[in-house]
Amino acid sequence: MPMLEVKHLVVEYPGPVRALDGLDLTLRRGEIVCLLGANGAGKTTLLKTLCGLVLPKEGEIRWETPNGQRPRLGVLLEGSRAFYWNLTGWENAAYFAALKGLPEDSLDEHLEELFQLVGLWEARNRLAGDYSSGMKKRLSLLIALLGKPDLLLLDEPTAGMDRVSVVEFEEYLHRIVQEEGIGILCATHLLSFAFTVASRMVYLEKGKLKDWEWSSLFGRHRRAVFLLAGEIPQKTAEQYKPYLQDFGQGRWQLEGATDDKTIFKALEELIVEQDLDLLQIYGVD
Amino acid sequence: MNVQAVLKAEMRRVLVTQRRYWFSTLTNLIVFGVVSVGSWVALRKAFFKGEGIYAASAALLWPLVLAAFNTASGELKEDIKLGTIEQIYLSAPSVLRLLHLRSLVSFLESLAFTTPMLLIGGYYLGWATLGRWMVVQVVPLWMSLYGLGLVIAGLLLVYRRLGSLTNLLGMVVMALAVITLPTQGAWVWLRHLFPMVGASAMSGWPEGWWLRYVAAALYLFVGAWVFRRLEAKAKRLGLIGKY
Repeated sequence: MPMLEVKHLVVEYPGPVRALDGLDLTLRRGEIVCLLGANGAGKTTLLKTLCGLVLPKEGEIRWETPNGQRPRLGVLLEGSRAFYWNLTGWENAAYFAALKGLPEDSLDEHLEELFQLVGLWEARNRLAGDYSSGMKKRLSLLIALLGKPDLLLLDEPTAGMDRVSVVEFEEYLHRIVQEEGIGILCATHLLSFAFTVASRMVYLEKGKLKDWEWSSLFGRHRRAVFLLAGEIPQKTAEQYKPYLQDFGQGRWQLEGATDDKTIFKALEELIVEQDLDLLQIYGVD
Repeated sequence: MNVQAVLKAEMRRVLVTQRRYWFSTLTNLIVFGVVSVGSWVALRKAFFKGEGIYAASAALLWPLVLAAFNTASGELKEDIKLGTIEQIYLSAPSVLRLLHLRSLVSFLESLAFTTPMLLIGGYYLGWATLGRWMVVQVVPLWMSLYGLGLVIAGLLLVYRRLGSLTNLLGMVVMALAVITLPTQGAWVWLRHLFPMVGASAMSGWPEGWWLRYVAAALYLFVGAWVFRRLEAKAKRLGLIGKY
């Protein structure tokens, strides 16, 4: 049974602009759904509508939780202004924990766990305004994770993060999904991140969801380039030789025409079966 | 919403900020004291024909008026400016209730600021007079101005550019609070309907003074209702979180 079911969601902004145009979506417990799409496709609007910041004109949002109530939501929206700059990281977390109604008796323990998790434990008593942009992002994430949410809504969570932090974050998402069984809906432009964490990817275009298709990713680009990291067995490397270039030290480039299905078959095999990391994707003319 | 926990968190936030920026807090206290004494002297000569009792209450009133009117709109304006408004909406089950609690904390904060002046005022005017003034004038004034402030806060969610007008409106309500109104005839009853006007008068117990509380509660109720309507409009237009 899906924990979230969205039916025919319509959101209209003055203009009028149909930001969401009859959108349907389901999300199950333990699932990470990555939401891809161009700027202005409606990704942020969808997340804001789900968390109640935007009211839909039409449609239905149904939550399936054991008690039939709306699940505890953890929300990280784009931007790093989710806290008070004149308070420390710890003071911010404690303040928002109180607003979220978390019990005070176990709060210190919970906050310590989260600060360790996002790697801000050492900086917890520094003013949030003095944090670097990556640290601000991590503090925003920590606030989203307060109270162990049932459903995480993430909008460009890796923006501003360095590669090491992105990898740690990917591992963390996998862990909380496995351990806590939560659901995650994540809007991102970072395809390597989406490929690594997603159990399902959907593509948003003009306010409607489409099933994932490679063609929707590259638009007008005629060639696609993928940078990969990891070990490829000799046999597989031979199989995809015309497309693969070995950069050494476990770095590979996979390149081919966007209308050539082999390149995408190779990519899926390398990522899913050979467990390579996808570092970067871009389209070229 | 756990009212007690949120109230505590709000008080902690205010205290931490006041302590962290102690020099600014100290400066504000000094400025407050100087302006209060200065306005008492000036108002006494200019408007109250040497009646110190009116001028003293006017001098004590201004910080309370500003705090009451500005709490809701000022807090939201600050959150809109800082960009924390979305987080507030995501964390607090009801922003309106959060504003009520913030108003209470703000009232206590402004009382702490005015305490030295209130002590001087009480000594100078008499404790009974001061207490009566608080009951008859100050509390209904606070409630009604907070209600009007909620309307402004709601408008701010929809019309961001109104933010710069709130300071001007603050001056207007301050002026209205200290003007003197006739205390005879129909005015006695009429002024009960507008607890935010002419609240500097420190008279006895005017006839039907409790009506001020009824009127104040009405302003509060209407303010909350308008705020909710405008909040829903802001959500429909996708304006929450637009900086």
